[in-house]
Amino acid sequence: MLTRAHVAPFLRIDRGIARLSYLIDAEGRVVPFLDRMCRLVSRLEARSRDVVVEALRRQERRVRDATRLAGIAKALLDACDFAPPEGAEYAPAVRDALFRARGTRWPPVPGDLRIPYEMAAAELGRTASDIERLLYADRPGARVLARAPRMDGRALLARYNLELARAALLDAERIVIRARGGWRAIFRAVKLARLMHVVRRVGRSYELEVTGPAAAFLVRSSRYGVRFARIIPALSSARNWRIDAELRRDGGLVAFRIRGRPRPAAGAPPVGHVARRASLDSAWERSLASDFRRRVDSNDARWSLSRETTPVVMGDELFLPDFTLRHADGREALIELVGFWTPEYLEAKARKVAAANLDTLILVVYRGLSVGKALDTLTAAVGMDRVVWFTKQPRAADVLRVAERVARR
Amino acid sequence: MNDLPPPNEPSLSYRLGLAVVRGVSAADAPEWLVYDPRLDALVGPGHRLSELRDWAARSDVPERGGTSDDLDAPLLDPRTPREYQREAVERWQAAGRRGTVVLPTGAGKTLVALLAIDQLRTGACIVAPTRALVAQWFTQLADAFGVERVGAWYGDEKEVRPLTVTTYHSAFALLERWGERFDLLVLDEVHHLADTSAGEAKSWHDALRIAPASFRLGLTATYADRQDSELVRLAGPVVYRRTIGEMTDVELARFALVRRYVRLSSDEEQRYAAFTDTYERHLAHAGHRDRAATPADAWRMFAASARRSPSARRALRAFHQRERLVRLAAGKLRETERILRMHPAERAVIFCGGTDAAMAVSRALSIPMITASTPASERHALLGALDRGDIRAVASVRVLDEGWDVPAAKLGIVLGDSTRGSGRQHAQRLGRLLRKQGDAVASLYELVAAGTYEFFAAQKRGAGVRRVSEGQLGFGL
Repeated sequence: MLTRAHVAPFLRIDRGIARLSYLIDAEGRVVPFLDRMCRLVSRLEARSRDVVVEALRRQERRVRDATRLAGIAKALLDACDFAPPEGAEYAPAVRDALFRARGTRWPPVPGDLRIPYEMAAAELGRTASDIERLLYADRPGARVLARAPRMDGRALLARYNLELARAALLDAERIVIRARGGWRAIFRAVKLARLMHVVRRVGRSYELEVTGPAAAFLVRSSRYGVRFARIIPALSSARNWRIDAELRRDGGLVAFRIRGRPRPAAGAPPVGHVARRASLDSAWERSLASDFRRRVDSNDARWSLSRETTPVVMGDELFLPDFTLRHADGREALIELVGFWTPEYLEAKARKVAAANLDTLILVVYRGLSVGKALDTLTAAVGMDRVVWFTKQPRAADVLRVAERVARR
Repeated sequence: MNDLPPPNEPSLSYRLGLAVVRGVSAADAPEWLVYDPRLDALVGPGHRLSELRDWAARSDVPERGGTSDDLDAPLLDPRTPREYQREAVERWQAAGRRGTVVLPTGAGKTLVALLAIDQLRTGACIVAPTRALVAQWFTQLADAFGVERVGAWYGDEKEVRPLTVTTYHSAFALLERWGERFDLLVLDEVHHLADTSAGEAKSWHDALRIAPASFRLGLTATYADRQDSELVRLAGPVVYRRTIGEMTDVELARFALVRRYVRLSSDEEQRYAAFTDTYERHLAHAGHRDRAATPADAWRMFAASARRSPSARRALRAFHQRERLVRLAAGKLRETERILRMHPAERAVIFCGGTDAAMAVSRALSIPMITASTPASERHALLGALDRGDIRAVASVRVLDEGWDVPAAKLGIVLGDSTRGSGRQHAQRLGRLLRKQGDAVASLYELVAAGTYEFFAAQKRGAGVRRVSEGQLGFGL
C-alpha cells in the first residue's frame, strides 16, 4: 500500500473538498513510460527484491517528479510475487553454526576471518561459500521475484491511480460505499477489517456507511483509515463503484470522492482495475448456475439467474443470499443454497433466515444432511413449501417451480 | 419458532473497543451510554466496562463473551524484592490496583510489575514504547513465569498469551481484538502518555480508552505532574514515588570513554571528496543556505526540492552515499578487531550507524546482528547466548539503544551514529553498559573517521554525554 508521503503532494484541499491530482496521460508519453517500467520488472524475474527496488529507483533520471515515480514503483512492487531464495530455510541454522564457531575462537585475530565459515561448513556438510550465501538469505530484501505482474502501462496507470486514492483514505474517518455488484466481497472485507456498517436503501440500490467501531471515543478518530484502505481491493469485483469519504486534514473534515473507473471516460483519469467476474463458491453453486444456463438457452428465457444479490439487513448482521432469480415481468426471488454444514451452522442460519422474515426466499437444501432438529428449525423458519431438496446436484427446474409461486415484484 | 432466543435479551459485552449493552432501554441504563444504530444497542468506551459490570450485577443483566486469561504459574525470580519495591506494590494495591509507580532508572521497576502480575495471576498486557523494550520485557517475563506463557504482539510477530507484550503503537489493535483476555495493563515508561504541552491527550491514549482491563499499573522514572489529567483518568494517579537521592542501594557501574580516530583509505578519501563536491556544489548553486534562517530549514528546503529537481536528487544521493561510505569505512572494522583483541574477556556490543553496516560487521566478524526486525524471541535467544558466553559480541542498530539490559556486556564500540550526533542516543548507549555488575569498569569506544563530518558529530555527542551524565545519571566524566 502507498503511504501518506506518496499521496501528500497530490492532494489539494479547496473549500472543504479534497481533490487528488491523478496521473493522466495527456501527451501520450506516460503510458509508454509505464510500459517500459512493466517490461523492466519482467526482465528482472529471479533477481532479488533489493535489485528490483534499485532498478526502479534508477528510473528517477527519466522523470521530473520523484514522488510520482516512487508511488508507481511501489504500486508495481506490491503487484509482484516475491519468494524466498533457494535454501533460505537453512539461514537460521547457518547463522547458529557460524556464530557458535566464532564464539569458540574469540577474539578474532588477523587472518582468521574465514575460519568460522569453514568450521560451520564442516559442521553442516556444506561449502564455506554456501555459508556465506545462506547467512542472511531469509531477509526480506533477499527474496527473489518469482513472477512479475502481467500488466501493461495502461493497467499500471489505472492501478497507480487507485493506489493513490486508497492512500488518501488513510486519513478517513467515515466512508460511504455505493456499488453495482460485488457486495459479498465488500461485506467480507468490511468484516475482516473489523469495521462496522449501516446499510441504507437508496432508490433501487443500496449504500453502505462504514465507520470505525470506537471512533467516537478516541483521540485520533482517523485511526481506522488504514482499515478503510484495506477494503478497496474488494471493490474489484464490483462493475461500478463510488466511495464518499470524510478525511481528517489539519484538524478539520474534508470531503473526498473516489470513482472506480478502470477505463478512462472522456477527460477522466482511469482509477481501479477491470472488474473480475464474481466467482462461485462451491461446486453446487456452479452446477446450479450451469443448469440454469442450459435451460435458458433451450427454452425458458423468461427467468434469469444472477450472482448479484441484494443485501438483506437483520439488526447488525447482514444476509447475502447466493443468487437472485429475476423474471422478465419484474418479479424476484432469492435463493440460498445449504450444502454440507454442521448443526450449529444450520441452527445459526435458521435464526438468520427467520429474523429476515423474507417470503421470497427459497432454500435449496442437500438431502444428505442428517442434522435432525436443526433441519426442522430451518424448515420451520421458511416453511416447507419454500424448501427445495436435492441429493446429487441442485436442479434448476425444481427451483423454478417454487419460484413461480413465491417470486414477488 | 419458539425455540429461537428472543433477539434482544438484556446483555453486557465487549466488542471491538466498545462496552455494549443490549436489550435495556436507555432510561434503565447509565446515562453516559449512547445509542449506536450500527449495533442497535447502547455503547460506551471499553475502559468503562468494569463500571458497567457493577451496574449489570445490580440490574441482573448477564455478561456475555470472553473472560480474562488465568496465569497458572507463580513468579520464579531469584531476586529478593527490595523494601521499596514491596512498598510500591502495596500502595498500588491499596489504591484499587490503579496508578503509577515512579522510581529512578536502574531501581528495578520491572520487578514491581512482576510482583503485581504475580499477585493478580490473571492475563496481563504489558505496553512499552519501543520494540527493544518489548523484547526486554519478553525476556524478563519468560524468565519469571515461563516462556510458554509469554507472547509478543507487534509488526509481523503476533502471538497472544496470558502475558502479552506490545508497543504503544500496536496496543490498540491488540486490545481491540483481545482486550477481554487481560485484566491488567502494565504501562511502561508511562510518561510518554503525558498530555501535550497544549493540554491535549495524545493518540496513544486510545489504547487505554478501549481496553476493558480493570487494573492498570504505570511505571516511569520521570513523571510530568502537571500534564497528567487524562492519564489519571485512564490509569490512576501516582501511588508511589522515590527519587534518586533517596536511593542508596542503586549503583551504576563506572565507565571509561575512549575516542579513536580512523583514517579513510586513499580510495575512500577520493570518493568522499567526490560526493562532497556534488553535494556542496548543488547547495551553493541552489542557495538554500543563504535563504534559510537555520541549518535545519536549509536542509528541509533542500530535501523538498529533490522531489522535482534532478540536480537536487543527485546531490541528495551523493549525501547519502557519503554517509554510507563513512559508516562502512574499512578502517573502522580493522580498529574494531583490534579493540576486541584488547578486551578478549569482555562481552561486547557494537553499535552501527545502519543495517548495512551492522550486516557488514556481522559477516566480517561472524557475530550476530540485532536490528528492528529481529523477532523478540530471537533477540531473547541471542542475548541469552551472549550472557552464557556462547557468543561474545553482537552488532546492533539502534535497537539496543533504549532501555535494554545487557548486564554481561561491559564493552561498547560505536561505529556510527544514526541520529547525526544526538547526545541522548549516545548517553543511552552508555546506560546499556552501566548496569552494576561486581566491580567491572565499562568501556565505550567511539570510532570516528578523521577528516569527515563525523568529527563534528562526535564533538556534539560528547557534549550530550556530559550533560546527561551529570544530570540524570548523577555522576560526571
